[in-house]
Formats: sequence, structure tokens, C-alpha cells
Amino acid sequence: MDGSNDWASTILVLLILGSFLLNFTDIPQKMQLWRYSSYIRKKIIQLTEIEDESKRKVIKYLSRLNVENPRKVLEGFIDNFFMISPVDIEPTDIIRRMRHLIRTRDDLIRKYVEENLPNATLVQRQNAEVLLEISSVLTLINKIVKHYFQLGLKYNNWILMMQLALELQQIVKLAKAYDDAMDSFMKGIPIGDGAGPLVAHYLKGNAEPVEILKETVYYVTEIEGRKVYVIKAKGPGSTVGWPGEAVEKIINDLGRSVSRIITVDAALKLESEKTGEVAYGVGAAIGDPGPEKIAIERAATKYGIPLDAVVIKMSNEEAINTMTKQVFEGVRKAIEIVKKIIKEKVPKDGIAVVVGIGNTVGIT
Amino acid sequence: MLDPMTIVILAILAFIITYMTVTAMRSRQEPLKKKIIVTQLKCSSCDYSEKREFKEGDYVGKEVGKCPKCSGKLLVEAIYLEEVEGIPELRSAVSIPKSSQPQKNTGKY
Repeated sequence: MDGSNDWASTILVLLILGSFLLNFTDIPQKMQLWRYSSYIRKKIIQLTEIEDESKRKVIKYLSRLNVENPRKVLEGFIDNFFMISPVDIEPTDIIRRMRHLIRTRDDLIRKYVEENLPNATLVQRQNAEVLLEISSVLTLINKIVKHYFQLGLKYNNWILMMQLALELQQIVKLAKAYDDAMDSFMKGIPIGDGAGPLVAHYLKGNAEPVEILKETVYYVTEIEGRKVYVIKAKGPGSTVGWPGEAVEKIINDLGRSVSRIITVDAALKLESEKTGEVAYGVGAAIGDPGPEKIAIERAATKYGIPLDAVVIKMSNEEAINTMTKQVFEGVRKAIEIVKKIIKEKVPKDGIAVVVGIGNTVGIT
Repeated sequence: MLDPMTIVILAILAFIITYMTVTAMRSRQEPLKKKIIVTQLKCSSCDYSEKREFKEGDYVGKEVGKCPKCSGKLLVEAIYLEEVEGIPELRSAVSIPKSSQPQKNTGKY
């Protein structure tokens, strides 16, 4: 027997043995489980580092505001202040119930921050609220990942492990984005989501603000010879205000004299789209859980006022991080589109309402 | 003289090692894009405008002084993240947040 025959026999035996192992044992699944779990373990370490880093940032920020025991304030916030969604199998009044729950939670958080930061300014308190929320979200993300990881190990569920491993790259990227976003909130720098309020800021010109609701203001100005009510959250602290209810109030006061309601907001782009692209359409451009959006739709429907939506596109990471130049250029384009809509669709003696939706951190 | 089977096995081994090395090297490469947070100032009375590095306390709409051209109000017009290449005088800049840097999918688990 020559050398090549020896090799051929060995390979044949190996193939048969390999085929048997792959088809009639759970060794491949165990190997997959081991491979994916080792990858997930590394990512969990990364997520834990991000979570710890976010906590350090909050503690540093609170210490700068002379909070006596910042760690205690942080620990008292994380895991608490959750909100249970209203019953949806009986939809009657669901919006009112949801609005009530959202406002109750917001008031509770505001009160908690006020009690623990009595000497801080309103802007500092608003920024602290967001920092605490981000840290809380990062803790929750880490907990959920660990939950599925431990569940997968417990029941040898390699499919669950594989799904988790495949999702983790996106999850870690999002967690990093949240962690980076904390720097913007600590320093009061405008974020991508502030595109709507920034458009409102430029449109208002030198008009004086009138506080219509808590953390929400409106301005009366003239654009292209038309009277325009510009609504936005009150800056420069980190808040989104109550734009829906503000629109409802203004429309109920002005009635049918309003010719157009224009909402401007940041929108999540598709992977193939470019950051800063601007598009317009019909409807209320606002990404809240429901109460604010429905308030705008109801007010517009009640008086038969057409609703225009202008959106500035960006990724999820760009929306929560420092505003990029591309987004800023999108803001410039959006202003021109809003002006064009006012010029073409609002009569000379008509009134338009423009709403800048989003977080107004770093923007007055 | 090596027999054909040995050559095949060696070729497969060489391919696997090369593939693993290239994948590992790719995952380590991080783009070195430097970006900086810029504050754009603009006079409320004339066309004067300037750019400088962001200072803590800046916000859009803030009055930061007088215009050197007409002594009008100098306001913060915009704050945004910009690539350093465009502003040579600000090259000492800070680095871009990690999440804003494009990440490569290595496909490794």
C-alpha cells in the first residue's frame, strides 16, 4: 500500500466519523453554545464597563452641583420610577390615561431631582434628570442582556444564545451612543434630536417667548408676510416640553383662522439614506408614545386645518449625540422648506403654527 | 516530494491561518477621524460671523459679547460637531465620541 492510499483511508475514516458526530450527537450545538456564550461574555463585560462609566459621569456631575451623597441619589433613581402601560384591551380613554401616567412619572422625577438638588438651577436640574434617565436605561440594557444570557445557559438554548450574539453588536453600539450622549447633556450641547427646536429658534427671530405650559413656550412672529406662531420646548435645559397640548391650546384659541400647522422633527433614517436629508409630507411629525401626537391631530381635525410634516433625517446614534454638521445643514434646508410652505400654502392674512419638536438642550 | 493530499491539507491550513489573521487585523483597525465641537458666532446687526471651539456654558441664542465690526450683539448662532480638517486653527482638537466613529462588522462570534 503506498502513501496516498494511507491518506485517502484516513480522510475517509475522518469523514465518516465527522459525519456521525455532526449528525447524531449534540456536540456541534454544544460547540456553538460555547462559542456564542464566550462572545456574549466579552460583550457583557463591555456593557458593564459602559454602565459603570455612565454612573461615574452622573456622580461627577452631581458632585459638581454640590450634592452631598451623589451615589445615594443615583442608586435611589436606578430601578425606580418605572411606568406600567395603561390597559389596552379596553381602549376607551387610553390616551387620557397614558397622558396621566406619563405626567405623574415626570412630576415624580422632577420632584425627586428638586429634593436632591435644591441649590441647582432649572437648567442643571433638567440636565441631571436626563443623565439619571440615561444611566438607568444603561443599567436596564445590561440587565436584560444578562437575563437572556443566563436563560440560554440554564436551558442550553443555543438558538437563544445565537440570537443574542447576533443582536449584541447593535445593542453595544446603542449603549455606547447613550454613554457618549451624557457628555452633551453634562455640557449643555445641542443634540441631533434638537433639530426641530433649532428650526423653531431660527424662525422666531427676535420675538419674545410666552410660556404657554410647563417647559413649553411660543413666539409670535412674521414670516413671508404671514403671522406665525412658533412653538418649542423652553431651553436651554434638556426638555422636550408639551408641544401637543400647546398646539391644542393655541388652535382652540385661534380656531379656523389658522391655515396651516407645520411640525418639524428629527426622523430616523434608513441605512441607505444620508444624514441631514430633509423630506416633507403630511401628518404630525412627533415621536412620542401617543398623547402629544394625538393632541395635534385632534386639534387639526377639529377645525379642518391641514397638517404638514418636515423631517430631518439622522441615525439613532446621531439623534442622541452632539449635533453633527450634516444635521445642522439639514436644519438650514428645513427652514427653507418651512418658509416655502408658509409662502405657498398660507394666504397673506392667514396664520400658521410651526412646532419644533425635540429636545432643546443647548438651544433657547 | 510531497504527495497531493499533504499539499491540499497544507493549503487549507494556510488559508485558515491567513483568514483568521486578516479578520483579527481588520477588527483592530480604527479610523482616526478627529472632530471638534464648534461654536459659530454671529452679529445680530451686521454680517460678521466667526467660529471657535465650544466652551462650556455656550448655548444657541446666548449673547457672548460685542461685535468687533459694529459693536452689535454677538450671539451664538450654532453649535455642532465638525471635522478638524476644515478648521486648521483648531487642530489641537478633541477626538470624536467613540459611537460616532464608523464600526466594522467583523462577523466574529
